[in-house]
Amino acid sequence: MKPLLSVRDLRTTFRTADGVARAADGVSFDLFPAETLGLVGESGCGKTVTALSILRLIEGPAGEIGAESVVEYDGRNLLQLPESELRAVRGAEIAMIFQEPGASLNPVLSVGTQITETLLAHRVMTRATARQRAVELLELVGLADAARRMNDYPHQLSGGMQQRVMIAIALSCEPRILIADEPTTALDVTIQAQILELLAHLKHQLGMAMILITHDLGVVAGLADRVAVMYAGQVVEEAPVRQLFAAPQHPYTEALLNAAPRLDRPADRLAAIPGAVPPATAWPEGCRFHPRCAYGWERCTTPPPHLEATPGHRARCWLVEQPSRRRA
Amino acid sequence: MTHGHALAEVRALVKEYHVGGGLFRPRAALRAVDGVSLAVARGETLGLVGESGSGKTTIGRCILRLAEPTSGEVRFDGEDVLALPPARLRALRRRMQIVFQDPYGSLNPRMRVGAAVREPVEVHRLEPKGSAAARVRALFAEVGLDPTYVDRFPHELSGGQRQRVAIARALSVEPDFLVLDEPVSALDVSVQAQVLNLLADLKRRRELTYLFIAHDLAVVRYLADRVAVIYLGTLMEVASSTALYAAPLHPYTVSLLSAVPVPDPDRRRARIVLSGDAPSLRRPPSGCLFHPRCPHPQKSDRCRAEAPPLREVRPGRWVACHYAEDPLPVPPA
Repeated sequence: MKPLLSVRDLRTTFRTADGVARAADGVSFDLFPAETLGLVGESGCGKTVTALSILRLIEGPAGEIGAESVVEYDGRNLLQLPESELRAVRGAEIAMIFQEPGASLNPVLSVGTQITETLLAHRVMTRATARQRAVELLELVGLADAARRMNDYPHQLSGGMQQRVMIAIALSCEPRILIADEPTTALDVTIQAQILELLAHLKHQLGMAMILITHDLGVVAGLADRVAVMYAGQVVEEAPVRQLFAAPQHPYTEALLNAAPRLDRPADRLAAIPGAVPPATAWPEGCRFHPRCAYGWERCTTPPPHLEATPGHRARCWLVEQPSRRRA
Repeated sequence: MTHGHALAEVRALVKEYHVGGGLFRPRAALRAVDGVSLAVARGETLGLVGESGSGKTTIGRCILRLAEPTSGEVRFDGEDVLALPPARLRALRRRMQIVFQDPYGSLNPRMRVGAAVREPVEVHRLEPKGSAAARVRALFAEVGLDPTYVDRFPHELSGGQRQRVAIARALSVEPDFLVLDEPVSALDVSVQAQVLNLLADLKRRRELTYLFIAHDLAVVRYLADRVAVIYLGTLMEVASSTALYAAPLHPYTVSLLSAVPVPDPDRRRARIVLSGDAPSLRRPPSGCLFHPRCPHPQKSDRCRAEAPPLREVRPGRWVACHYAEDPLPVPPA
């Protein structure tokens, strides 16, 4: 199958007081039609920067996307597209939702106006049709009493309702790809469950592809078809979701799975990962995880390439070639 | 719920905030905490779990008297905290400390972290001036920080290191009791595990008592001996950690547990998804506060009319539900 979106060797840097931060440093992955790809990692791993780079939402002059980087969509490199053509893709074909819906909505415009304006910006239709479509979209995302809510302002809505409105705006132009950046992180657990159920439902109903960015492996396990794990600006492991959880190949993935306290597997002691994520201005030489890795040996000072463990399951780790070094 | 050896205890605690109000509109009272009675036994970790707006943080603050309760009692080691004169309160405060969620917000950005840890020692005159530095270094080592970091500023440390500083500062006055208010929820998973392990070690080594306030049920399970579940300022269920996680009795607890995403793709569970949002505290529902969202099949007019009291349905198991004897089953994994 041909990928819908291909990211190749994405390098996004920021000039900071401490030097150049290589936030995304050679990121490559594919997104296939109708699939949900989980992009997982801790803060500072580059997952959000990767998503923003896809839509060229990196702010200059401090931030810059490398000239060799490619984001191929529909036969075109989005990173080289003229601004006017990119604007037609952004929002209409690739839409994005963020962690803080309250910060993304305009506080002085009613919910209905915000959806209607989005529709009118991208589609040829009358205002009346756009308003009618807006009500349908609010119903689609499960906002109770949708017609009445059209006149509400964002502050009159709860966090969960605001996120539903954001999703409605994102879906307004029937995008082929939805990028969801930590869509439930700011929500309470019972509201998170509602939004995750909504996203799962929409993905089936609309056949839309989705990049789900999250730090929560539980969220990924529940929603993603495939997973790319990021660490220190790179994708370190990529696999179908079941394989990733059943047989993680990269020690970072394995460590992350063991570090989180779990309801289904209570522990007497948590397996913490020693140390901290290094700063993006000074990634370690060789494998970037090796200073924290339980298995590291001399070879790890040479950066490992992506090595394929089983078809479709790749990891940037020498253990894939030398599995005997993995102690039980 | 009285406890033989309670170190910290609240009885019928009520905390109201006054909100809104304009030129011609009266201010409305909002009950953040509505008649909570809870005791933390010496040496135990009590987990206080709830979603935003549940009042869990307010309870912690009332115990330390960082918030003034509207009514009710707060006792610490048998003393009536609310009746103490200022000098006695200060002495008692040395024994109870708090660690907040965001160490960046609770540490002075212009103060070196060593000085931040030394400050309470000096305020409480616990150490002659000359030996305070040695005490700070020992505390740094105890919480797993390089003692040479004493001269750094908060922004020069990682989130995990800053939280270790906040813990060292709390421990500097040798307290018996710590209120831990979401101490790991701002941290990444790998660092969260380090800090949770540290808190478990410190508790054992220093024989501390914790009130552990959190929204994350998995995190609470790791540390807590007993768990109290709170919703809209009212306790829904209190039980030992073992009993509560094995067989929750309140439909809210069942729903909360079922909503937690589990990192196992083979267990995409039949979740109970509660409809709607938690109601506003400005207009709390009649009867049982949870009834508008309750998925219990026996939900009845009684739930709408009559608030169920928190009652002991089995030894050590307290539940505020009319149908606690016939609990909602936990969805199968």
